[in-house]
Amino acid sequence: MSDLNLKNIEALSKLSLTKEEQKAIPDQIESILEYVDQLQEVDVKVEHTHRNTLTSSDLREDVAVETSPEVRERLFENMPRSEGGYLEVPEVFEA
Amino acid sequence: MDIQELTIEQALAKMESGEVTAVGILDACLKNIVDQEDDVHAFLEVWEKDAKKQAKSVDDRRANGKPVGLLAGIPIAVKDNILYVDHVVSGASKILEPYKAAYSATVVEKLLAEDAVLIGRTNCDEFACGGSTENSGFGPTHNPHEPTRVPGGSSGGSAAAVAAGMCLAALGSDTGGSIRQPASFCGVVGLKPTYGRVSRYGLMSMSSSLDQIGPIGKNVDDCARILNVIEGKDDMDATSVSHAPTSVEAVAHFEDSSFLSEMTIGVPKEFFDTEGIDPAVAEMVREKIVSLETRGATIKEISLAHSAHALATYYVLMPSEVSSNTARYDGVRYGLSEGTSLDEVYVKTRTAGFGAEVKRRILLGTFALSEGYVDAYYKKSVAVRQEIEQEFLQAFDEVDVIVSPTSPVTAFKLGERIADPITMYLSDVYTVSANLAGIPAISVPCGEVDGLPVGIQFMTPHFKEDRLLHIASYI
Repeated sequence: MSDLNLKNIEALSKLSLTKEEQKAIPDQIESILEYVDQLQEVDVKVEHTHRNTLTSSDLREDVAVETSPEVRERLFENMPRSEGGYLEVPEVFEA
Repeated sequence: MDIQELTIEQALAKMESGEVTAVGILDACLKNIVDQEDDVHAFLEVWEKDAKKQAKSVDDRRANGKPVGLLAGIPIAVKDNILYVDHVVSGASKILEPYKAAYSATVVEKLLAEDAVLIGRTNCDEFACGGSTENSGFGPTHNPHEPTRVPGGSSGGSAAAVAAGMCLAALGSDTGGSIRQPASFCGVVGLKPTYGRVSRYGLMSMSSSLDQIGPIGKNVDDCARILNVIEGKDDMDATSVSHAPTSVEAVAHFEDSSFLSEMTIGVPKEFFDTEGIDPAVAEMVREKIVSLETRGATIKEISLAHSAHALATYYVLMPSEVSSNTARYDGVRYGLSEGTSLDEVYVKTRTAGFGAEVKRRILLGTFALSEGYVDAYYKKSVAVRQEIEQEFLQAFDEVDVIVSPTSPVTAFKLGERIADPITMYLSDVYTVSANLAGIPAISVPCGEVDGLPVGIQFMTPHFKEDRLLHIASYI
């Protein structure tokens, strides 16, 4: 059984739970984890493998496709902040 | 015109003969929306103006003897996680407001190319996370059969809209049962195609190894007609696969009795002795199985032992993928944006924008993928999933089709399960296996218990939709 470090999971999830959520959610997650713990009892013959059934014929030619001006305009209209044809992002490195 | 009784086949014939127009059919749907929407709340937006233009264009072309598409003039609703260019789409989440689609989903393009009339976007659980449509950021949908009850979910708005005659059919998406369970609760037909049959380009990703788009309709033939239009390999979705098209003519031939006598139907015993199954639901499904046997089918009891763990497998894999897929809602690219510094923008936006169930799944998935737990949870569930798929493939060596109830219960009351995630999740216990195995599955109405619809579910091997639709048409 897990020992849930909610603060750490919240930080990794980029979420900050309200007082109410902090009260309800840990118990709910614990009960889900309790339920899924039945998987530990399952005897599996196969080892976990990364499933990738794609073959090269499934893939497109590796060529750059220009986005149409209309689509580009719509993408920019949806951006909270943009400047000079670029998406504007808050400073990544603090001065 | 009684839209609730009108099938796509009949509507097309009536329009061809000039008995009705596309505008007339659309108006009848719009009238049902006006009359019932206050009680049902199936739609987040009705595209009345666009729809009227489309319907008028179909009528003009028909009147002038010009060719029209396979779904010309058929009003179809679209779940609010499927993109239609220049139209608002929200995934029923507050975090996307006020997002307008920058392009159309492939399925939307295909419906429009066949002259379907897109009537509006339907309510759903936020980003398809839920089984009751109560997790919508814009209020729940109510079951048209009994407004105190949920329509199921997550495609609850689509199923309710079809059941209430607000459209002739609808698109939904199904990750663990989100087409079939609401179809069952609302007394309509819902089909989850084989993973890879229908392009997901333009569908908001929830759990990418499980998501499929599919039709919800009043009968099996309507679903076959829509599947035939939306399916096919798409360069924009690398997981889509080339396959033979759905043969609309081959299904729904009730008089073709040799088909049933060639069918061996597997009845997995684990699906009938689940804890919490309503005995009346099990009984009703068993009666239908007996009726198929009477008409010539061979019935065989089978065991799908690993499928008993399907729900647990699903509730590790799905939240893991949800936690990754929702990383894009960061307050930087589109939609809601709060805060100033980068980390603050992430945390404030996501905290304000996501609802409780999405947050729960993100936290759970992040946990299942985190250092020290990824082997015990995520990797173990991937391995069990492979066992489940193998088990289905082996079962299909012995039987042609597998049958079960769609859900262990009928539509429950609003608010009844929302505080207890496990009880809520249990209504998907029979549907998640098909997603984990990647096989197609359909829910068909098979009767009522206390006035509430019951659905029977059929599953077939990968890409055997023709067989699936055909057997379903005997119910």
